[in-house]
Amino acid sequence: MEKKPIVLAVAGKGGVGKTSLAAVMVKLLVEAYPDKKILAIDADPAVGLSTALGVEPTLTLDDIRKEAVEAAENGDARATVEVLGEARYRIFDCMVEMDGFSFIAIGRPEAAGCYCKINTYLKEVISTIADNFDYIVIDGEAGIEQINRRVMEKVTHLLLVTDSSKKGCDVVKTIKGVADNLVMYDKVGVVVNRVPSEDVLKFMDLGDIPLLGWITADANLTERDLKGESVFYIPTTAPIVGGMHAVLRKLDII
Amino acid sequence: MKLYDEAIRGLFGSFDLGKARQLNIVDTDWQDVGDHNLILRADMAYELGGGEEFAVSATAVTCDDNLVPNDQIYLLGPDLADITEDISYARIAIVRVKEDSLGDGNTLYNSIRKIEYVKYHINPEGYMTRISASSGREPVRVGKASLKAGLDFAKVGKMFIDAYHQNENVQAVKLIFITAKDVDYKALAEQSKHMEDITGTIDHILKNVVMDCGTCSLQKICDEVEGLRELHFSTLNK
Repeated sequence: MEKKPIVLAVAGKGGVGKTSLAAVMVKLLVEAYPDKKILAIDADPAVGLSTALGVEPTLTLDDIRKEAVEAAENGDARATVEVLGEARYRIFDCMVEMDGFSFIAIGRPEAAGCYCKINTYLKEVISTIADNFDYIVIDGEAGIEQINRRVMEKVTHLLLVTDSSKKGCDVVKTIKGVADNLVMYDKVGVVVNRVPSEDVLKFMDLGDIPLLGWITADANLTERDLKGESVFYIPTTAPIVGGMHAVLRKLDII
Repeated sequence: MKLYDEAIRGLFGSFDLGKARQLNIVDTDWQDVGDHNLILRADMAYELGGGEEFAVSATAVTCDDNLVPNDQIYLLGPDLADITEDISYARIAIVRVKEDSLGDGNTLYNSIRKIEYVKYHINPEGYMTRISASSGREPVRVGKASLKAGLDFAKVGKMFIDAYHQNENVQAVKLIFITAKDVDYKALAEQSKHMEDITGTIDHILKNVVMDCGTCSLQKICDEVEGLRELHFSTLNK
């Protein structure tokens, strides 16, 4: 029987802490499954997951995509099988293999505005290598573009992240609406991050999206973010670790 | 079909096949894992052709049964179980086909490429080949667990040979794995590049009907390789 990976993706409004939650998910998966193959994908052109995980990539997917385009423009016409072989070859050059997990960053295209091409390439890469991993965590870009472009098509668990703001809630509801048509997810839910207290939750309108968990604001985490410290140094008693542990348990992941 | 014959002889001249061991070709039930062939560094024993080491791959087609009398697997250097670190590596496949079986024109080119592309579809468990057509490199990550389970070049070779024989035009295959340290891999890489140039020139001849050879960047290859000029002018006359 063909093995299918569990693909977890975080999506939501900008600035709600998606990257920290994705990084903590990687940490928890690595600790829970030291013998499994885990891949973290920084799919946010704003870049940040690498810092949160203590990874220093020297090459990104966009770098190898540009090489492939340049080669084609210079007349290096290749058969499809060769182009795919080349992509698989180069993916290992931009994959950082850490203790317990591997990491790929999509990078930041130089052309301002449009990320269509790199998003399409990212989708192909996810399709090419996904089945080799047991768990994949994708830190998506803010908003809805990667859902629209079907980059998240293979996602099995979609975690919509919001803070307690109305705007954050509206964004996750919009993303859920689009994802219902374009993502073949098994489970979806909301994680409310940085809530001042549990009391706030009853005033939030999350529509019909199940609540997976909530995480209180943590001044210590803010300080760690400012210093650019890896999540692997966050104590297990920190609200974000306990909160995400509960979320993953609720999803039957750990 | 003599396009590669001189190049094959040149290739054989760049190492001593007499020092190589001929491996027994026996049926194997070693698993081909298809696309599920990822080997991460933590699970890897070593990489053939890893890092700055040479990772040479060459494929050539012939009709000459002196060059390829029957299916053969040779190993020049240590077998997989005896390798302990990243080393230079080469895999050479000389494929004998039936005379005139590959057609002409585009059919010939596509038939040659089809034989060459067999390498993209062989994925022995614990033997992850990465192929870069642009750099001509073919490094292989070898998994620790598969080494313990008995993976060796005889098994890998048999899987390659079986895959080549899926093509009904293929009559026999000479497969040579090279892992020895005292081999001139640079010369091997140059010979491999020459073979790729021959294939590229066939494509060029068929796609670009150049009347004036003096203006063609591939004239040198055409001049060197018996049969290419003939192919060129037969194409022009059609």
